[in-house]
Amino acid sequence: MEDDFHTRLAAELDNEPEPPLGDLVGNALRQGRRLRLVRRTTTYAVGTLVVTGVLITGLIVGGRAGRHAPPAAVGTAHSGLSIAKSPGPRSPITSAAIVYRLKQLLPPGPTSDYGRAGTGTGFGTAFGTAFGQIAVDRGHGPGMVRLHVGTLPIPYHCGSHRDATLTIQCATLPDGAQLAIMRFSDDCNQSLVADVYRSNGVNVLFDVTTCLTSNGTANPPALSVTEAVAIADDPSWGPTMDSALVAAAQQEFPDLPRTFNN
Amino acid sequence: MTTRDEEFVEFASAHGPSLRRTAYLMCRDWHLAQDLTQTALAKLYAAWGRLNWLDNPLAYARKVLLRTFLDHQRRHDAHELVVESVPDTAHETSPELRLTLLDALGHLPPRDRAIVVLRYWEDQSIEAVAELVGTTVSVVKTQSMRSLTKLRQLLGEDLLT
Repeated sequence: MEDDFHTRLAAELDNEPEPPLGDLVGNALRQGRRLRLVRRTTTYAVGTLVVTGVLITGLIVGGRAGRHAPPAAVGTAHSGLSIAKSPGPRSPITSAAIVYRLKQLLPPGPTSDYGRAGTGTGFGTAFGTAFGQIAVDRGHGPGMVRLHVGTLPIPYHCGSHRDATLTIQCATLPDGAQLAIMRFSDDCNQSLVADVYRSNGVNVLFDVTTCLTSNGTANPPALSVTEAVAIADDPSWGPTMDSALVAAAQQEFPDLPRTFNN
Repeated sequence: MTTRDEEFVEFASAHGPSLRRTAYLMCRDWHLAQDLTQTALAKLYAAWGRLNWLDNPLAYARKVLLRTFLDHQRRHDAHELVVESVPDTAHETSPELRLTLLDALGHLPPRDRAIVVLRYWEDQSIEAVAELVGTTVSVVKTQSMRSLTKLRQLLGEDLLT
């Protein structure tokens, strides 16, 4: 029985168009490091909060409770980074807002495969990164793109690396943002990555994937490098976005399916 | 790269492909399988220093992969990749329309599918599957039997007898 099952399943799998493994190990290593770092940071943060709480309690007991602390700078409470503001009310970024904005920015074509972050505990969760996914068909089948928006204290390091499957090109964009174009030659989930880091700490990672669909149809990249960079560098991305856009997105995508975000 | 990293890379390079295939059999989506495997390996890396090397790190990786998959399924909005309609048996259909075993697996509930994949694809013992899934040996036995019956019904063949 087991042999029959295994043999038949192996034969069927052999007929499946299995995409290349890509930089699975490298990505897992990087995600694992972030996860470990976050666990340490969380421990440190909890300890700091406890100490801070004790100090505040001491101040209150000491009779200073009536004083008002000076207001914190806008956008610094969470990350210690200043966030660019634009006119009009702002709301925290959502997955729906990312998908909604991507629909506006992507070239014309039917869209599908909308998704929000899943249950991963890596980069997305760790750094409070928002995530959205969408596929666009420009006449050659659906091509999926995934966008992450978060904040980082330092930009991607553009130094040397030992990954033979990875090529990186770095540049400074006209608006002053730092750009890293990464190509993983054998990773369909990150065939092309536009990594934009702004001086205010906002970091946008934009993945253009080329994985095969389950029916074996190859997905061509939906965007050129120029198009991907333009979208990644869109000024609307940030920990907060225009409130009207966020509200409209919530109406259009009230219940995005969970995908799996790294 | 530290010794710890080198050990992990060696392990992940050796077992990543088979873990991803197992993930694919569970979820039927290469994108998701890639992400599930990456996350499982990342969690394994985070625990690497705490692992007792008398234990089997591959079993730990399988457990993390399985729990990540089941957790995803619980939170996921029923995005199953299955065929739209299922005949009672494949005898009623033409050979061209016959279900594949992969398709038939997609009709099992996620946990039952995981049990079948672990038991008959990964060749894990009933006891090991029970430990991985977090249930009893009896449940694994009965669910395996029921799942195979369901697969036979779907496939309408003498296979899996």
